Amino acid sequence: MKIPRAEEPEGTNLLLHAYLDGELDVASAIAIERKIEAEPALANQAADIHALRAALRNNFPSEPIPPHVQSRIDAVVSKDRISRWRPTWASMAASLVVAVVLSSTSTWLAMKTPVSSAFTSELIDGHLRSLVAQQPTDVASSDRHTVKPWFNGKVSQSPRVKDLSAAGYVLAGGRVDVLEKVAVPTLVYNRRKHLISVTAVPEAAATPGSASVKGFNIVSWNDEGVAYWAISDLNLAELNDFARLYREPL
Amino acid sequence: MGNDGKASRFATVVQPHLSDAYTLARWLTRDRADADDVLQEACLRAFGAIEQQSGGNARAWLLAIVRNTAYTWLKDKHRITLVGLDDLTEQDIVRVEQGGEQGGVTTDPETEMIARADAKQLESLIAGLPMEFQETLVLRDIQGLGYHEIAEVVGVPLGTVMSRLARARKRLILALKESRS
Repeated sequence: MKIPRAEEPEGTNLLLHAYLDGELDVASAIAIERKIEAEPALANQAADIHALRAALRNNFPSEPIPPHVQSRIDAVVSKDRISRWRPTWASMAASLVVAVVLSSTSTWLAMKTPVSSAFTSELIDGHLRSLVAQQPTDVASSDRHTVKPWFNGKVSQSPRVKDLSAAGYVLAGGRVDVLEKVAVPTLVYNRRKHLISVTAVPEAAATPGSASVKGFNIVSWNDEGVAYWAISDLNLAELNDFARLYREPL
Repeated sequence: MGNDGKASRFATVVQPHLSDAYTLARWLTRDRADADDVLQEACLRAFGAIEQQSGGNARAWLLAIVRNTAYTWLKDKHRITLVGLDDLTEQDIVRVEQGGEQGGVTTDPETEMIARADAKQLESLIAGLPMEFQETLVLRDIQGLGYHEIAEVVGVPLGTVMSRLARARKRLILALKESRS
């Protein structure tokens, strides 16, 4: 490395910055301190650099990573892991579309908004993420008074969180999913070894009904202006039972 | 290494530095949506290469990936014309390097001007710097990396980091002083 030399004007300049950044060894630091004391111009330069650094630090404090970005990163890791035992997301989305077309007699969740197949695959994407992750939720708690406030500030509206443990559906926690680029809350419940994801989308509407897609059962309904989708590999009778209990007034 | 092992390595090595990675992506792309895409792409690359990352500085390793991803992404998208030092004329380089050297002794009110600069003003001044200066300044003064770390991220010698940082700061200081009306 080319070490700047203090005898050169340019060298002094670089060493001044390095000194203010705490990058100099003790001997070099003392040498620069003496120069600053002796030269008013250098002292002024130091004050300017100091002021600039403070302005930059104060104006651009570090921010935590937003939840919707974190969800995308989590999906990156999950997808790679899933790809070993599942078809790719593109082919899965395609087969979903086929399933929708073929099951014209069944009550498919014909979503009024949003309707894209991307939305459906994102919905299942979120559930798969919980299935394969070591930690299936972003907040893990069986206490609804812990889970509900956790969503504050992460999504536009905290979902209704019900304690259904008496019926054998134990709250595992919650996570933030990204559907159509909007961060939405999802609750995760456990039934024996099965996970149930309940995604709540405010100001959306789902056509109530159920469907079986790729081994997952999906039940959808609306309540007070919020559209709900429950996804699980649990049998449909039990998932419907769960949905019924979840919808019962508190 | 199995994918479970890779995922847990990712959680240990990458996750703690995601906030820094996101900040750098935002500064280099100057757009939140673009930064989201760049960060996702960078994480995909980091995940793929996680087995090669052993020891060393994990933050510098990740930020180097983010930096490369951002530049590739920006070029692919033709989003901006990257102005690097190589593109500047000799005259420009002299001006850049000297920072429009001014005579006279700085007075306190001018230093005060610098301290009172707001985010918008600083952002626009930083955006006007050559990319090499921008990234060095952001890594040091906004993200708080040490000189050695910056050298590792950018892939240049320590002396180059020092001179780029000094010049970047000098240009901002002069611009802020001139902005006094």
